[in-house]
Amino acid sequence: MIQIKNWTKNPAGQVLLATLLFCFIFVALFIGLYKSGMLYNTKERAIRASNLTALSAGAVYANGMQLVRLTNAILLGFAVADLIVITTALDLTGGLSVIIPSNFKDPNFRKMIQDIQSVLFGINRPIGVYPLLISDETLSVAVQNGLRNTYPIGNPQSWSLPIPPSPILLFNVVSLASDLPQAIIPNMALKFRTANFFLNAIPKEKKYYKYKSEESRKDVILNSDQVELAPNSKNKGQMRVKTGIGKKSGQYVSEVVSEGLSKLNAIIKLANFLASLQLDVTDRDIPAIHNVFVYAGYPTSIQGPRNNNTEIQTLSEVSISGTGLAAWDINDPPYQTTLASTDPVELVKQLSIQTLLSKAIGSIKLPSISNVFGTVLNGKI
Amino acid sequence: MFSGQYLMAKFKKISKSSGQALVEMLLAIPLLFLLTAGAIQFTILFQARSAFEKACGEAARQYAANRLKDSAAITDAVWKDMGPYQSYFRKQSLRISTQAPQAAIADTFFNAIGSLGPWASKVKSYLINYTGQSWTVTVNCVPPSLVAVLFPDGIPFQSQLTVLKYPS
Repeated sequence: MIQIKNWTKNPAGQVLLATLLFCFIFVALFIGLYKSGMLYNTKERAIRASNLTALSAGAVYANGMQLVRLTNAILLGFAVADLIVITTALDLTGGLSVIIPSNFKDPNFRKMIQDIQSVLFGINRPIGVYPLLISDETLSVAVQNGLRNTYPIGNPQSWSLPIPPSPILLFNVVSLASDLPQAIIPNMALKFRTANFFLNAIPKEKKYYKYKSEESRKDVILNSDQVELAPNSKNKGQMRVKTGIGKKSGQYVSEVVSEGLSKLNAIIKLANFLASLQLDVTDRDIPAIHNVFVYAGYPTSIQGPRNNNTEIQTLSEVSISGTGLAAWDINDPPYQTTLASTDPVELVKQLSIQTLLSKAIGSIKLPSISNVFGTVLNGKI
Repeated sequence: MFSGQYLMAKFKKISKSSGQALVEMLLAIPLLFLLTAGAIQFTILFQARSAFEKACGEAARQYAANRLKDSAAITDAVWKDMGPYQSYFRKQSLRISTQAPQAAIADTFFNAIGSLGPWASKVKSYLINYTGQSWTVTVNCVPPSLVAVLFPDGIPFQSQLTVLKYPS
């Protein structure tokens, strides 16, 4: 130690020490440059991987939308046949106040195609075949682009979901705060259109009842909320004033019959009948929203504070847009896939989605995936 | 006082210590300059790598948007997108090898459909219209002069990416 101390007082020793110090500084500089350069490149690759994965999801999704158009075109033929039978059976002499026979049954030739559409696209079902295909293709592309994959490739019975899983696909998100559970399940935001698509709301049938007042000798008119079925009456279906309504509780009433009211109720009956007729497949939301978010991690070689490899979290959004899904749109240009831009408005939206996802993932205690798969395999879904 | 021996002794003392800092500076400054230049060229190398990765990503996006049809067009697009960093690469060394992307469950499903017969394959090819490619892009980087000492044949850069597209 004394020798080293004496040596450091020597000019040659001091020069050597200074040289070692500068070498150390430059080695640290080069290591820092190397790591930062590698991390910068990794960040670029992560963004690229996420964008290409989202674009791939959009491509498969757009193909699915064209399939919807095709099945709707096939459905149109069967729907025309049904329409002919229906219009033949209905009495249309009264105009809109259509008389529907009591023994009328919808022939429903279109049901076979609708069942295929329901299974294929997951309409009115928890999940569909094609949305699963979108998920599978997207996950495969994600793995090939280097994104971290935590989903089972071996035996799914003995695997539990890590937190956070990667990648996460979110489908057709309008508002993540309310749509998160629905968005995680692969879906194409579709529904069956019903024949009453031109009506916003169908009113209930209007029925009015009356009794003659003894004091004024005039008819007192009541609506259906103010009357009830009279028990123990000789006449079946006899109505009376509801208990607790005015002085005439229990007073028997008779139904008001007028031509105008009958016509209105007939129109309402027609509207309800149309609401029961399922037609083709259409967009679930108005305006139509079809998008896919890919939220994933890209592993880096940088070690974290807990000696684990860190990863870069990425989020990409792709939207799928087109002119419509009806049968007559089959020759229109196919649905287009557009990658969301990184302008400040989109960035704020993406950051809010990232924050919500991180909070949701951190707070949810997910069950073992083997339980979910077991339920699916046992046919309970 | 100014005897020869006295002067000699004084001169010897002066000649031992004066000019030491200047000599040290003359030795150190070129070394520092070399190290700084090396750091700058090291950074330029990483920038070239980043430009290469960006060019590959941009070409893949154009492919997904149906603007590029074949490997030659993709190669030209990658080279063009490298912009001012083209001088750091050798164009003859830019190679793209392609293969079909793999999707385990989807491939199994489609192979099962295909095994039903040629008509099933035709129907499948009509219904399932999206395609894609997995690319491996390699290029040799011409390193800066200081780094070229270590890599005389150039530094190979490689990038792998996969994308699907739906033809318009």
